[in-house]
Amino acid sequence: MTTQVLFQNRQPNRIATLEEYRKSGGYEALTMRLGSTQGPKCSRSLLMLYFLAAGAQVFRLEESG
Amino acid sequence: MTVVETAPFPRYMVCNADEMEQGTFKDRVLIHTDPHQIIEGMIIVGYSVLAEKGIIFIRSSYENAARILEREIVRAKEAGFLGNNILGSGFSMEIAVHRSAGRYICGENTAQINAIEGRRANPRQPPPYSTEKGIWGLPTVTHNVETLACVPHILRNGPEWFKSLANTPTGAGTKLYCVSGRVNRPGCFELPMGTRLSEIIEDHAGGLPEGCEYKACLPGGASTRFLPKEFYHIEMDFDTMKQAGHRLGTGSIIVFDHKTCLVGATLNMLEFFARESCGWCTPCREGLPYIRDILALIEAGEGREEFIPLLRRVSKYLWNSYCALAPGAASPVESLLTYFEDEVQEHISQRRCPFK
Repeated sequence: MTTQVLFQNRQPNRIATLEEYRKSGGYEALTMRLGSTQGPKCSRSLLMLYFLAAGAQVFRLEESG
Repeated sequence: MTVVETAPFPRYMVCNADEMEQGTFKDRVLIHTDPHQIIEGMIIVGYSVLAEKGIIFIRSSYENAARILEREIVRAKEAGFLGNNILGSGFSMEIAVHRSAGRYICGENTAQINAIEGRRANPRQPPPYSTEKGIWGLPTVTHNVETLACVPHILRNGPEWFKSLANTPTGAGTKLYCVSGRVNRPGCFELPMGTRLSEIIEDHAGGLPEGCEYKACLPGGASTRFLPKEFYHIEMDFDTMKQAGHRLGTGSIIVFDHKTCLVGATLNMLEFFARESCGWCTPCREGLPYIRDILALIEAGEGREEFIPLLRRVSKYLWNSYCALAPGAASPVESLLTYFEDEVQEHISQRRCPFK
C-alpha cells in the first residue's frame, strides 16, 4: 500500500467530517502559519518552493512587470 | 518591489474546479472525499498573497460537490478558520462557490475570469497577467483543486518529505491518476508521482479484460497525445513525459485495446472540442469542425488519400489559436497520424471502418 496523503481520510460512501480532518492534522498548517511572527511572506516562500518542486505552473506572484 | 507588496486590494484567490476534461474526475473525488484540505489550502494561499476573497469555480453539473463545499465552508467558518480575523490573526477571508456556465472553455484561466465577471467566457490575451489584473482588474491567483489540497500537507510536513514521496528524482508528492476505458477496475488512485503506466493499469486498475490487448492510452485527458505500446512502462511524471515528447496533462488515463478504432475515438474527442470552441479565433472556430468532418468521412469509409496530409496541415494551424483549447485538440489527431497512420490508411483503402 502506497502512502496516502490526499486520500488518507477516504471512507467508502461518505465524506470525511471536519472533526476527522482535524484529527488527521487538518488546519494545523493554517494555525501554524497564521500564528507565525514571520507573516505571509514566509508562507509565500514555502509555497513557491512547493509549486516549483511539484512542477506546477508558477504564476507571476513576485514580479511587477 | 513585488506585486504581492504593491498590488491593490481586494485580491482574489480562485480554486479552479471546473473539471470538464474527458476522462478526468479527480477533483470530484477529492471534494467528495475530504473537502477541508481544499478549503484549508485556499486559506493558506489566500493568506500568503493577502487575498481576502476566495472563489471556488465549479463545474455546473457537479451540483452535489458544490453543495458539499458550501456546507463545509460554513462549518469551517463556525470553527473560526474562515471569516473575520481568522484565529485572531487579523487576516480575514471569505470563500464563495461559483457555478460554471457549463462550457469547457470556462476552465481556461483567463476565460474563467470573464465568466466570473458575468461576461461571455472568451479567453483574454496576457499581459497583463491575472496576478496583476484579474477579476474586476484586481490581482487574482488561480490554482487547481489537487494543487490546493496538497498545500496543507506540504506546510505541515515540509517540502523534503513531499519530494520523497515521488518515484522519480524530478517529481514530487503523490498524484491522483484517474483510469477509465478498457480496464477491469476504473477509478481514481493516489500513487507516487512517476508511477509506471503499466503498474497503474495492471496493479491498480485491474488490467485489461481477458482477450484484450493494450493498444494505446491518452495519458492526461483528451488534450494529450496517444501513448502507444512502446511507452507502456513509462514513468508518469511531468519531466519524463516531456522528455518523451508527451504531456502528463491531468494524469487521467483513458485506455484503448486492440479492438478499439482510434479513428472513431479521435472523432469522438473532436466532436467534443468542436462543440466547446468559444468561436473567438479562426483556427479553432473553423479548424476544429473541419478536422471533425474529415475524420467523420474517414470513419464512414468515404475518406480519400489526400485527407491524411490535409489533416496534418490543418492540425498545424490549430497551434496559432488564441488559447490552449485548439492545440490540446490537435494532440490526439497529430499522434493518431504519427503512431497509427496505418489504421487511418486501412479505413481509406477498405472504404469502411475495419473494426466494425
